[in-house]
Amino acid sequence: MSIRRTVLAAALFLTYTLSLSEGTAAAPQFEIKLGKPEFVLPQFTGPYQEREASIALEEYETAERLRELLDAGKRQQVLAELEKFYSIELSPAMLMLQAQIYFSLEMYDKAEATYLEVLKRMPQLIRAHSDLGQLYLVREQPQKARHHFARAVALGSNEALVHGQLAYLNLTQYGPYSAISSYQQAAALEPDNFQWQQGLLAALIQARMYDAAEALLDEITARKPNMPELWLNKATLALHKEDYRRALTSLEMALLLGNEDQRNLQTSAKLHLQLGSYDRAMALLEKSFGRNDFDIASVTEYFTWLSHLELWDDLKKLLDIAGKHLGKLKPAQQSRYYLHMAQLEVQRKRFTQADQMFNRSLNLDPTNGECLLAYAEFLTKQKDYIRAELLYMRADALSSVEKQAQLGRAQLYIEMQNYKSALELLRQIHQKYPDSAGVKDNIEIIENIIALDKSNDTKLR
Amino acid sequence: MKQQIFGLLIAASLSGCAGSVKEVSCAGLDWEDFGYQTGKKGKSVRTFDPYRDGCGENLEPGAMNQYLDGYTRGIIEFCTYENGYELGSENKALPDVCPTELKPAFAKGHSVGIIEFREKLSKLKRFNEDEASMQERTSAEKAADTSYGK
Repeated sequence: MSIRRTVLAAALFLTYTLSLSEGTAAAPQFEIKLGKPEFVLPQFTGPYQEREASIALEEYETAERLRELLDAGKRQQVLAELEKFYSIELSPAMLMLQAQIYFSLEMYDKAEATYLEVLKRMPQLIRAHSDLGQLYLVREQPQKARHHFARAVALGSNEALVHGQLAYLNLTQYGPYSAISSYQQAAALEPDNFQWQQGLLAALIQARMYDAAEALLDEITARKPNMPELWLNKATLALHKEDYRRALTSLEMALLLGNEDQRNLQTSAKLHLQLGSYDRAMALLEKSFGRNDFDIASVTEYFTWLSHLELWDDLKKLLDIAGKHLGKLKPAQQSRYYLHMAQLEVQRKRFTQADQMFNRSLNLDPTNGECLLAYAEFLTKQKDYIRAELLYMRADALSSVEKQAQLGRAQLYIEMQNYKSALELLRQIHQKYPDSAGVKDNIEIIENIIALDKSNDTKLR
Repeated sequence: MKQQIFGLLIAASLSGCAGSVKEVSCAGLDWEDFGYQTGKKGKSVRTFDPYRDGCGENLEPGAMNQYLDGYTRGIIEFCTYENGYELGSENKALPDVCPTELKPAFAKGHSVGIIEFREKLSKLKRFNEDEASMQERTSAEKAADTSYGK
């Protein structure tokens, strides 16, 4: 039977390759030599009887009575009947029934012991292995579950569920390559079961078999075009291939179908920014910021992006949108928002407003090192050296920005032509951070300047 | 040393007419070995009934499971084709103690043993008959010789 099927498959394959070569007659001829299809006979592992359990002749009467009780939903009564016997007095089939009832009544310890008892007597009983696998899944013992599903498959189980669950456990315990074949088997047995296709897709993506994943995805989306998850998968694949336009189209499709995940909205917005469709990006950001899980990190990310592109108007729009949701943020996060506002005002040369925003930021979080540095740098450019120096000194006390604060202050002293203080500070920095690039060169330059100043003074005297 | 606890039970004979009080140990036994020996000798798993019923709550925790583990091992060793054959060839009855999955091989051995036993029996019978008829013939010949001589 299986040989006939394989022959049929081989014949179809040949027909397929022939029609392909006919269809591409005008194209350059490439000859591909295909290997002959191979037949792999199943390994003989003993009589099939050992993998099945049948009721003993003398049990038929009892079995019939129990079946009636089960049909009437009297599982406890069935158990009571079975528990009158020692396990060895029951056939494996009856023991399986007992184990299944324990399982269904959530008496997991007894169910496990009974299944193990069955396997002690019939180690090749497929059903016992697959049931025990399920039990261990329920009891969150995935390694034991995998062992029994694998045994069931090795013994010839042809249940899609067993293959699918083995695939899932392989995927989580051993990675994608060990899962693909089992998912394919499950999907072959139950082609309409979406769970197996999803699993196979996940495994293919994890294994970076993007072409196969894409082909599978195309097939599934053709059948289920309204599932946002599928479009998200398409977007993911397109991103892997750096096909941003297709990624964006798929992502927008997912959003249109109702997926409103914050991260997806933001990724979509980023892609729009990258592809230059700023209005849509802003609309998506507005939607994204309106959510409860709005966070300042994403604002910072867009801020950096838009600053890099020097899109100040869009940056203003972004901050205006974010500003509407400031109430959801903690003071430290609000401080970061006002820092961005200040930086924008600096770019727009609105220095008074910038000064106000810096102050507001520091009022909200006096330990905002980034703000202390940016504000000090701003004041240095405004030649407000005294306030700048104070800010650098405040930043110096924060370990996260200590080095930048000292370098900034040294720069400030140079601007003020206070070379002696600059030199002293640079020497301190060099001692503390000997690997800092350029510090030693700057020390030498300043030493030369000081020496030159001294010789000039001497000459003048 | 484990404390010995005893249970009392009335061991009824099969006819149900007579009853006697028997004392069983409820703790301190090597239950697994007890089960194993019971199974290996082809005795019924119900050998444990007096302990279960007589001891009740006094039965050592885990005793029954240990007994059954040992019994299962023992009965698997007992219920073989060879042992069935041996019993059959001694014309002993087929005991109803083997688990379903082992029963066919055990019963087959027993049948073969019984057939051989019967063959041996009929051979012996034939031999005895032949002996008897030979003796009869010899006696008849002797009698004829005697009368001829006269």
